[in-house]
Amino acid sequence: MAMIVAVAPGVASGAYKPTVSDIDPELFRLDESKYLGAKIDPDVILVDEKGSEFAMGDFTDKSAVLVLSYYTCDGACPAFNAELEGLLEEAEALGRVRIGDDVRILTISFDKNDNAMTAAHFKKNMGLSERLEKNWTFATFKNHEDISKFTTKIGFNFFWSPQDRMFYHPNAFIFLSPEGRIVRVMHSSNIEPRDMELAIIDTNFNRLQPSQIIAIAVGLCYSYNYKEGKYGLNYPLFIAVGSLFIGVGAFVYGALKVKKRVKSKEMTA
Amino acid sequence: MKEWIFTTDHKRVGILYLIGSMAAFAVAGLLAMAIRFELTWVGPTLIEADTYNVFLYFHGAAMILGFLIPGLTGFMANYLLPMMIGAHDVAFPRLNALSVWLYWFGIVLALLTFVVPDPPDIMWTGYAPYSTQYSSGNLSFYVFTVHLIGFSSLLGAVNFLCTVIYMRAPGMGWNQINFFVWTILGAFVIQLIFVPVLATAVTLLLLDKYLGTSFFVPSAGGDVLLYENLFWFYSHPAVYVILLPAVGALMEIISTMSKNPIFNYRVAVYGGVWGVVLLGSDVWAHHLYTSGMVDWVRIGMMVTTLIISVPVGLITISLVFTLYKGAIRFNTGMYYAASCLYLILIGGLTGIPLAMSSLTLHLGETYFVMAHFHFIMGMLATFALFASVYHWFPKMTGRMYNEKVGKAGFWLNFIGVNLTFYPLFIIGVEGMPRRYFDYEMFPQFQGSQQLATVGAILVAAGIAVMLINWIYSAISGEKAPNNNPWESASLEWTATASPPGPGNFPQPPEVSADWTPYDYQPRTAS
Amino acid sequence: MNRWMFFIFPVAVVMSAFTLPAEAAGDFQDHTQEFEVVWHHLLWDIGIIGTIFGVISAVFLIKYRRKSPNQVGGGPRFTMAQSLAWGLIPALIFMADDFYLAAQGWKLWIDQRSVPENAMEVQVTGQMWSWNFEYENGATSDNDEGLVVPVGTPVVLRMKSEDVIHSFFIPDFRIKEDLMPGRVTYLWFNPAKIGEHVFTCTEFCGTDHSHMFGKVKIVSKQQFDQWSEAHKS
Repeated sequence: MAMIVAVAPGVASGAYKPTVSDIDPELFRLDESKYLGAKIDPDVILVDEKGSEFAMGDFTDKSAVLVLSYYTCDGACPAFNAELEGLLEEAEALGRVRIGDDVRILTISFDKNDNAMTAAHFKKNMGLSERLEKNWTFATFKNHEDISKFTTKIGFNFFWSPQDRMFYHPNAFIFLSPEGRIVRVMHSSNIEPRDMELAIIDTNFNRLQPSQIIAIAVGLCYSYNYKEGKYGLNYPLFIAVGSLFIGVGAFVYGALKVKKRVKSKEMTA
Repeated sequence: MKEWIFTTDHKRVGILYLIGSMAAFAVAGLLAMAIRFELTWVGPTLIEADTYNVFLYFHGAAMILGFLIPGLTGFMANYLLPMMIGAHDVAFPRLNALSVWLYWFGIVLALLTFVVPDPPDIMWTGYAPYSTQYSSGNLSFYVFTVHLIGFSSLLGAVNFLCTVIYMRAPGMGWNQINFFVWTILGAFVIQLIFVPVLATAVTLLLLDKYLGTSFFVPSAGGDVLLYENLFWFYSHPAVYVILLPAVGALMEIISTMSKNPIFNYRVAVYGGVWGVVLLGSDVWAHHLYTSGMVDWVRIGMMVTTLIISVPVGLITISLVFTLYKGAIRFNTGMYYAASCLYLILIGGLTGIPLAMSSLTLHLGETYFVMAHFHFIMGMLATFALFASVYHWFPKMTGRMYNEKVGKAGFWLNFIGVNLTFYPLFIIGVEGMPRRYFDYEMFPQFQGSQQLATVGAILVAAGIAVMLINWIYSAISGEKAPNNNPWESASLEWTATASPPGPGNFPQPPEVSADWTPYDYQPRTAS
Repeated sequence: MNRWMFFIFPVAVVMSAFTLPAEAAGDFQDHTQEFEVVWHHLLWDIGIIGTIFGVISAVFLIKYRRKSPNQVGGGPRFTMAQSLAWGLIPALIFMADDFYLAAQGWKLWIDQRSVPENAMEVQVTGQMWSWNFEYENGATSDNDEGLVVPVGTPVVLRMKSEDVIHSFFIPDFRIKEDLMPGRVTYLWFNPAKIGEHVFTCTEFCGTDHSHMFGKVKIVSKQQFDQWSEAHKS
């Protein structure tokens, strides 16, 4: 407990930045390489902000971005969810993924004191656009004993600091495939709209729709960097495609040379 | 000696390619024997695991890059193609000399594998990240060998495509050129387009290993799967670089020895050869069926890979039906060619389960795959090369080989390869994985492994008999009775001396509109 | 010439007999059994094609030997139409066979890749040169101990590599999949009967590549519970 007390709250910024060195910042990162491919328990019953119950498995019949937050949080969580809102809208503006068709958003509270009312309040305060409003669910766990089971399974560590009267927890976007498996985990602070877009493409990659052909091509041009949690250009692919022209170019050069030679021979003959 | 080193004559360049590729074949073959002896008993017996891996690497790399591709394109195209189309030489003779010496440097560099302290043990595929981050093997030898031999065949490709396009004998239309010439064209088009991709992929490996880049380092944004894709993007079409000239040569031999025109030449050329070239470039991912790619890529490539059976099937029909109503004369070359009709069946048909992603989930990376591609490359293509050397032996040397010894060598080889690879097919289906130094977990496979070793000994004896026959007959064989002992109708036999002098043709050949290289009907008019 | 159709026709007839939807209903307990059926069909398929081509080749080679020194061949010369027919008809037959096989392979593939809902998940980690297994209930195991699974429950392996590419292969269940560094791959199988099966590595990974093996041990439910209690870390 002493350790937690020693931590100064970092509320203002979206990302959690510990100011005291005896708390391991890795504690608030999801270890992507360890939990990649983990399946979210489809039978967990959740309650949405309107008070109706649904199973996790019903929600993830499409790709989803999962965010774990709590609704009575007055600083970081709204800011973090707002960051996601901004990123999603900018990613959609790039024109290759559509909110609703390609991805839905689910925020779940890990605080057992939250309920449908606090969720509805939180959602209202976000002031979402109409489409996001329709495709973004703010949920709470129906059974409180599910919470720790759910979070430990994906390596999500959080704890309550009585002194600061707030939770310390990772701020991570968890990208789920339609099968309900973790495809990507991204931590806020350095994500750009393009990373968001590519992560959404990645979650859909196994389900080819002809209309997504451009999205898939874009997806191939980037590759994911685990250390930085970002996408980068897939250089070897470009170099290889470029090299396709070396041989053809050499042939065209050779052919022109022979042609000239044949012509000059015909002229002298 | 000097005139061989500085030669620009396509025939001598061709012979140099043959000597180089047979040297690579001999070394890689001896290593194969060591590998076979090691596997004869369960447990480590003859060599250590690391040595075994180096041998395996060298056997694969040298057989494909040092023997098959240079043997079937370098030697055969160089020696035969200009004469078949009635040209006095290739379009760029000096470039041709450069490419054979680049190739020789490539083999020498590859052989240095056995001298350097940390020989590469990365298999001929060189998959990252083993090759870049974990193996102590000297990756640069692998990369520079690929570069030298790749550059050599790129030069060859430019050269021969230009030669065929611009230097055919006056009057020779596209439907009058030899089938073999078409297959060489197809093979070199593949080389031209795809070799640079392989060179690029291995160069990036080199940068990763020695300059600390992270093109294929998964923790730093590199993609391991991309290397596999780039590698096979070339290396699967490379199989057709080997297969096409092999069936081309077989078609020539079968047509000549049965005195029959090629069955359905047009379909075999435009459907078969060019079908293989077109489809063959869209099937590479069948090497990656178990590499964790998304499922729709695997399904898509399953369909394209299965469809490749159509052009290959058309070529096979032409090969077989060229015999129909023929007047077949059996010599050693024809023995090898006829056995290839059987090898292409076994090799081709065992490729069909491997085209299916769902069956490859079990069969992939087992002895079944290994036996399959040995049937195609180690036997069909290799036997086609041996058949060609026998068939064009009188042309190259002006002498006849010893028929009896040749046939004895053939039977040793033919029985040997079947004895070697049939048992391996069976234990492959039962689950014996490739590239295993030891098979402690499958002691029940020891009997089959031993049978295979017996077969390999027969093959070794057969190859020795064959090489002795070639060398002895080339030096002091019986003189060829005439310039055209097999009574072929193709230009390289009818219009040149044996062996041909400089410039090939005493008179520059000209062909009429109804001439074909397969016209065996006695002329009634004139 | 038309009499050669006689040789190719049986292939088409036999092929269409196979495409009857006898197995299309597909009541296989698991993909391992289905594999056997598809493999069997395939062996018939390539066996028939191989026999036809083999017999034709052998007959030609024997029958059309040269009888006199000056004899020449009397093979057919085709008009363009005949030429096309001899190209298109075999092409269509091969294509039909290809699509028949592709359909079978596709169906099997779907079954191989569709993990049952009730599957037990085991995390497999490959490294040079050993395997580690982690169970949902916290039990752990390695290749010396073996992959212990309860009989009757489908098992899905979620696999990742610590270093180089490996490949997890269980010959008796007819499955393998590579472990790609930086990615997660999966496999599933149905341990229907109590027994032991070899698993091993099938992607070259260095010196001890051939010693990365162990046993899949299928035990009764009670035995599994006991075992996993004892192996919780």
